[in-house]
Amino acid sequence: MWLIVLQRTLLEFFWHILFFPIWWYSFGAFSAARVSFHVFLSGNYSLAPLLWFRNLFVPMYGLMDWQGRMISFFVRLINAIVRGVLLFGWAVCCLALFLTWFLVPIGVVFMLLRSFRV
Amino acid sequence: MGRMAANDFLYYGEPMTRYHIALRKSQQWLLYFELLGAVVFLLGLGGVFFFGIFERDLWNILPTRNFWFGPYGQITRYAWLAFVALGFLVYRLTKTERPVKKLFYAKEWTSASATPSALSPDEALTWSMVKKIPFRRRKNIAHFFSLDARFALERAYTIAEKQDSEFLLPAHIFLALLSVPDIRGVFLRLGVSPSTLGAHVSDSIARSPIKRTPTLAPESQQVLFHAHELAIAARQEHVEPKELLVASVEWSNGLQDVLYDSAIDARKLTNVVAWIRVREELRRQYRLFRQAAQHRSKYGMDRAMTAVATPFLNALSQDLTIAAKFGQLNHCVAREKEINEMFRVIEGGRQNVLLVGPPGIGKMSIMEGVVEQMVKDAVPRRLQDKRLVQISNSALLAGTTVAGAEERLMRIVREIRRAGNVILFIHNIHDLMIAGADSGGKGLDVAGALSEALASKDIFVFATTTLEGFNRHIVNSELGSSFVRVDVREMDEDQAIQVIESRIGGIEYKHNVFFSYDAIATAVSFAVRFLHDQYLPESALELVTEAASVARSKRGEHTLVAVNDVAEVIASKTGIPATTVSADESDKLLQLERVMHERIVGQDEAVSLVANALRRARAEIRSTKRPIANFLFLGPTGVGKTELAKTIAEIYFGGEERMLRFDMSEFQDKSSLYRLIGSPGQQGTGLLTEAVRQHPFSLVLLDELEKADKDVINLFLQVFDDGRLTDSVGRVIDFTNTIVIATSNAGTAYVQQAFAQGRAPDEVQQSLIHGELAEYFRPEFLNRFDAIVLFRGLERNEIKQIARLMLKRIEKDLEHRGISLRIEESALDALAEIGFDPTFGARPMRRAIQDKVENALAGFVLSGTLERRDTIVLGAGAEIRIEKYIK
Repeated sequence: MWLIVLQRTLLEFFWHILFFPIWWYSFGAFSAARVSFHVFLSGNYSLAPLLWFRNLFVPMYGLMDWQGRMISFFVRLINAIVRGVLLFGWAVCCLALFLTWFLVPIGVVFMLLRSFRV
Repeated sequence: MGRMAANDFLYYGEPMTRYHIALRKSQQWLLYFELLGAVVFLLGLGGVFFFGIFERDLWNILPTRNFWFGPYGQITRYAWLAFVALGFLVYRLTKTERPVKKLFYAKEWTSASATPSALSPDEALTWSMVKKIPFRRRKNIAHFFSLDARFALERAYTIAEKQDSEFLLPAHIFLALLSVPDIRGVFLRLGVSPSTLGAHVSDSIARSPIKRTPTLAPESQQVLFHAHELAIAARQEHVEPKELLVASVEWSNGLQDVLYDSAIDARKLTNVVAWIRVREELRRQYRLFRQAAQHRSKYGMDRAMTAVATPFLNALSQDLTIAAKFGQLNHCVAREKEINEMFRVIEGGRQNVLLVGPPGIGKMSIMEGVVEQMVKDAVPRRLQDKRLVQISNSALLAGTTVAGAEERLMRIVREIRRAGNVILFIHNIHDLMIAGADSGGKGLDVAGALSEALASKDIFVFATTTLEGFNRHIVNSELGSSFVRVDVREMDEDQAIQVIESRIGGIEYKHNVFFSYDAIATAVSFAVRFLHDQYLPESALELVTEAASVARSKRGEHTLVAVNDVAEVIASKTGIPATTVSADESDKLLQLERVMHERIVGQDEAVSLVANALRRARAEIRSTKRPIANFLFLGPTGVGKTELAKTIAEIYFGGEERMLRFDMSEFQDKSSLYRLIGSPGQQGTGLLTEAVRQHPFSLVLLDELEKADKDVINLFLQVFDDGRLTDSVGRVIDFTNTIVIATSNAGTAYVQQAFAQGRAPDEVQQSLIHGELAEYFRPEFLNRFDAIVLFRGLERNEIKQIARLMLKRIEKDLEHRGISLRIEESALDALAEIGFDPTFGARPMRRAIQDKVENALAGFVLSGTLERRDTIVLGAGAEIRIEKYIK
């Protein structure tokens, strides 16, 4: 029995090594996408440009007079724009993170092969 | 093996054979090997890379393009290979990060209706039927088993194999579970050593004479499915070892027997497992809560920044959401029902919720639960992103008149309106009304201002009040109609146990002791039985806190707080002996009659009735919903009725001062009822109710009951039946730890006459009850006594014994002066002659002894004739002479 177990374990070991690149571009890529998306969501929760957009005409700090309303409107507009831009930048970072997952193996293999040629 | 449940085919898809277990073990080892290999390669290759740089001193060109793309391939290749190893490490770690699937449930509070559906009972399945079930409906429950649980199952197989068992039995699973730390903890909490228990279980398993390969027994298969069901019912993410424990015990009679011998039943086991679950849940909730709390503003600002600063409100209040953010509030347990009810009210469009319940019942804890949900945003939309601010009643009223407080309140309401993100919380709202009512008699000004604010429906107000406060100040006021009332009921014992389990960690840490499950359960049941002024869970929490410090002061740190520690706290609070009966005490209880006869002469029937009642009470074989015993002592004066009551007070309650004596002749008119239970609306004025409230463990003696008014007598119907009496302010006074003894001389003349005619005592008693007594007491009243005891008139012989007992007391007094007393038989005869009167019982004897003995003694003492070591002899004719001590 132990021989069969050993044999099966060895087979699994080789399978794990073979499966490594396949996993990287299938299940691995999926979990990388999930992580990137979560990172993006937490950025969205903190920056919340949509929330600022929704409240564009709501005066800040309860300043209900027309001056207050005007100042609030512009402050909110600027906030919404700046936050929107920041979030876009954040999204780009997240995407880059995800793309890195795809590119790193190619880069590593390329550089490895190159290093052997030198 | 498999079964159908709610349209799914469930099966345990991990074969339990030696081969599969070995395979799974080797797979585990393979994983360790791969991880270790990856780390070794990563470090080794990285090391070689840096060593190359170090050796050739290439640090300067390390960040340049030339280095990586230039002629240093023999060095850089190690870095790239290290990257590959790193990638492999990520791959193996990610792939094994979650080795098991999570059981899925709907989200938190909205899911009240989405409790897991009950699993349908087994149906007979055949392979051909199973084959027809589509793949998506086949569920391998093994995936939901945590790694610990799976390892335990494999260990169980190994144990079964070692013991040459034919089957893998639930007992084997149980044995394997005993080496899981959590499960060991369960048994330590139950006060049983896991290794001893293991030895007992091991002995109980039948062994097969020949070596076999075990297979999974049918009941063990059921254990797996049952554990899965338990995990679903408890809304767990995985099936953990503790579910296997409960299931294995449930499916094995042998295990139940072994546990039964250790005084562990199914309920206890389930509750301790629930305890672990509560602790795990607390940890999980805490993690979730901390994550959620990070997003909360510490300045009370909402996320859209529409809120306005509320400086005035802030000065008079505490922001509970911020307190919760910094972890200053307690976690709320077992109050989901009330919290959901509050949320439903809010969802239904109302703004104001009033929690009504007695003090100490957990209204504040419910509010803490609401705040917790607010921080996690698991609340109705209308409450999201808001602050819950508790107004300080004392700060609101401090240093101002009612009008000033009213103005403050109006300012607060204005600020809240402007801020728009504040939910006001007023704890004990009736305090504001009392303040109004007390000063100037103008009444509820503060409440008026508040109800005006509430009527506008643009602010949210949560408030709490007591039942009494609600009935007196709110129910008929304008304020009452603005609120939706949510009743907070007292927890049941199991819920209270859960609350204590959730709080016990802090108490254990503070006192450096740990609690057995029994101690907690006992604390809760004692709190219910003996502490009637307080409510669960606060009463029980107080008990366990005190028990912790008692245990620590008695036995030092790191000790187990046991049932007797809790009983000791109860005993010191109420005087009720709740500890288990010790050997000494049980000896004493068994010989009660002898002990009582040291004071009581004759009256054997009465003594034995009382002794039996006391034994039943102490052994806890009695109804706990009635007084320990109710007796009616009938008989002529001076035959020992009161003396017997005193004796009981001394023997059972620990002293004659434990006897609450009421001369019922003082309660002859109807108004005297209020002297017993208190004047309406005035607290603490009832003589009887207050006395019993303060000393719940005592003897209540109602002397000459027949002289009391009929209404007063009727009052005791309820006491005798339910062991409770409601006083004038509505407090329920508990009589279940009292012995009530009523004495009566009614019908004495008839009794004496009947005895003189030589009629049998039983016959006399019956005709007394149906005849003479009916004049004073209604039959249903007499019916409620546990026993009506007829005290016989004393006989000359008994009078002699009484004389001896009384003289013994004098003898004791003389002993202190160094003088001894010798009583001759002829003296007793003489005293019996003088002191015997069939009408007055033993009372004349006291007078006779006074005249004959005490007066003479006083003369001797004053004249200085008596010296130490002299002997006084009471001789014929009850005359006294002195025998001088000869040196």
